[in-house]
Amino acid sequence: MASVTLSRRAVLTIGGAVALSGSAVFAQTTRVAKIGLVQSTTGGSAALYGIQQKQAIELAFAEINAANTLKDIKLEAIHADDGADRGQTVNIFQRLIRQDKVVAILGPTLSNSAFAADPIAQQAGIPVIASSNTAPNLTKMGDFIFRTSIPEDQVFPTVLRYAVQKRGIKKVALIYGLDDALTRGAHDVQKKAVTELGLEQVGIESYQRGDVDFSAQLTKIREQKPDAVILGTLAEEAAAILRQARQLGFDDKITFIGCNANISAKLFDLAGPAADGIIVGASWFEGYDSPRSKAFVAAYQKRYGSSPDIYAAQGYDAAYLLAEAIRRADDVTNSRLTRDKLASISDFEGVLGRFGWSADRDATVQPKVLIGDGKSKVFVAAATS
Amino acid sequence: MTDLFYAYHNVIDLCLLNSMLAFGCFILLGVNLFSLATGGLMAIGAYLSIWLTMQQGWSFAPALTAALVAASLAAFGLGSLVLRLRGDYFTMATLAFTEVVRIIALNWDSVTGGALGVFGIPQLTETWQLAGLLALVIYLIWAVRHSAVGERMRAIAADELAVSTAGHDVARFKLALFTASGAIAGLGGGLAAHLNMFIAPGDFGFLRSVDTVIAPVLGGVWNLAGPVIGASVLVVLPEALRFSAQMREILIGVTMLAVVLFLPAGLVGLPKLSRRRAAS
Repeated sequence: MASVTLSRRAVLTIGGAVALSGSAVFAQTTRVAKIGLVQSTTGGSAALYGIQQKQAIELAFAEINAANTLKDIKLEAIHADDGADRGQTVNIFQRLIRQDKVVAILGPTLSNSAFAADPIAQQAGIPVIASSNTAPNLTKMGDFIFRTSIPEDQVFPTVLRYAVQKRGIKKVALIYGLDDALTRGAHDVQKKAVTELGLEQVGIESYQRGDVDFSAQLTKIREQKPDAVILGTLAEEAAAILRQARQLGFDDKITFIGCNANISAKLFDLAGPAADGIIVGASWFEGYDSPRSKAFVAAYQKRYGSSPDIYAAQGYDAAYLLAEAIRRADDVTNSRLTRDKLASISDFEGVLGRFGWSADRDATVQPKVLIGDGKSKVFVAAATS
Repeated sequence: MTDLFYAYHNVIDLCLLNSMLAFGCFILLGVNLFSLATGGLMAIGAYLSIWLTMQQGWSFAPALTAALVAASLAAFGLGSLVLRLRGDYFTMATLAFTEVVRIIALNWDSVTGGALGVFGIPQLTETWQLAGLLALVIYLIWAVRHSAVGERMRAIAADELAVSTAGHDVARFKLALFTASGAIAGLGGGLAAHLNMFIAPGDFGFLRSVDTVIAPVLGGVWNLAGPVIGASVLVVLPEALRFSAQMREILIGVTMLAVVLFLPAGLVGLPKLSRRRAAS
């Protein structure tokens, strides 16, 4: 009996040795760059953005690996879900950096999580590229923090200037969600842009998350007779405001100007024809007319059977930017070198267009002004010239 | 080994911090009080302590002490008003307090940063401080439970009417416990604020209050190890189940349901139960 066990052990040993030597040979020919992918796939509405980014980034890595763009380097995404809970984001960052020894991190989904977790990466010298954080001052946390999600303050001034030029707007009213970091941040930017353009601000109204009836605020706004109403709202709230404004008999000449968060198919589903003519600004939209963008939309639809949103596009570009940095560094473990190479990329041809980094490591994407078409339920690019 | 510690550094910190907060609810559950004020009291401690360390240049220890004092005063004031309410009404009133504090935090931009929160908070909370303070809290509660006061706590839990008929001032006793629980919440708030460099009003809402009640219930309301076990399980479980992706939330829910249904004394009752199984 004993001899049988022994021989079995011997077989295992030999087998193990063979397997080990096999992997050793394999390791000589390919190097694996481990990349942390921190996106919420559970935890309420954050999961909607997180899943889109995760899918787009995994699509990008699959394409890069299949095309052998990085020759002997393979990209491996280690995904971890933080459930939109900041404590977990910090847990994940520490584990990815200390245990999995990733060379870079893509994420996290929420700005709040980034404020808590990014300093850990900064301290450890691991580059981070965010593709959905839009909070102001995010990249000021350190020189290892990058983002492809352009914040509201790079988009909204362009949008407002367009509206002023085309529609002759002079008096504006603002409405925003008081208790949501996204809408509050958008409102701050909008207010600043209004002041800078010298427009008359006739009123500011606010509401809290979960509110569905905006008639009190809208009635007040109607009395103030603005030329435009500026929305610092989420898509569902924007839709309700648009619909209720029509019901309250708002003049058709009053222009509604939305923020980044309003660019969603949900806006049209919920507002219907009331969304006609709303002006918004974005770094990208599904109908964006560029070969790179069209190829991305097609590939995404083929792989996942659904349409990518703006966060997917930003995540996809983040993945390609990181791959380019790793290619230039030609190293799968040196995160500082990867960071330097990433920072050196300029004139990147991405889904969002051609862009580089600003001094604060924000993507310098040309914002696109979009107008809602309530009938065909899409945003169309406005003629900016 | 050190790498392993750093890889799970924050997990350990959260276990210690949440255990401490759970003790705040633990002492209240000991006299049948179900309070959801923890979030609001934590917010008071958190915002006061970061205001002191960031704007007034105080060092950490006095700022924490101030947080503790402020939250216990708030708990004293709140307790004098709402402790006369019974059962569900008491719980609702404490929840209302948490909501009021959250809404004040949302609107008081100059101190709390509104919905955008405060970031760049100096990282002053250390693991050894959390461990030391948790040990202190456990020791104090242990000492109280083994004194005449502990006797009275158990008596109130068993039959409040009998205790008051015997001439004891139950209301004042409960107020003292509620104030002590406020002190723990305020201290925990100050420590939480200086742990992860960022806080926002949403951190101290309904969910936070519920989490701190669930921990002792899950671990065991009658055992000093209960809050520590419950809080640690609640922190570690999401990490341990991360492999299961979308199933994670369901698995956490199922685990909690199973504990409440089959282990009425909490997780601390598990060894006893298995011993009984083995014996029979």
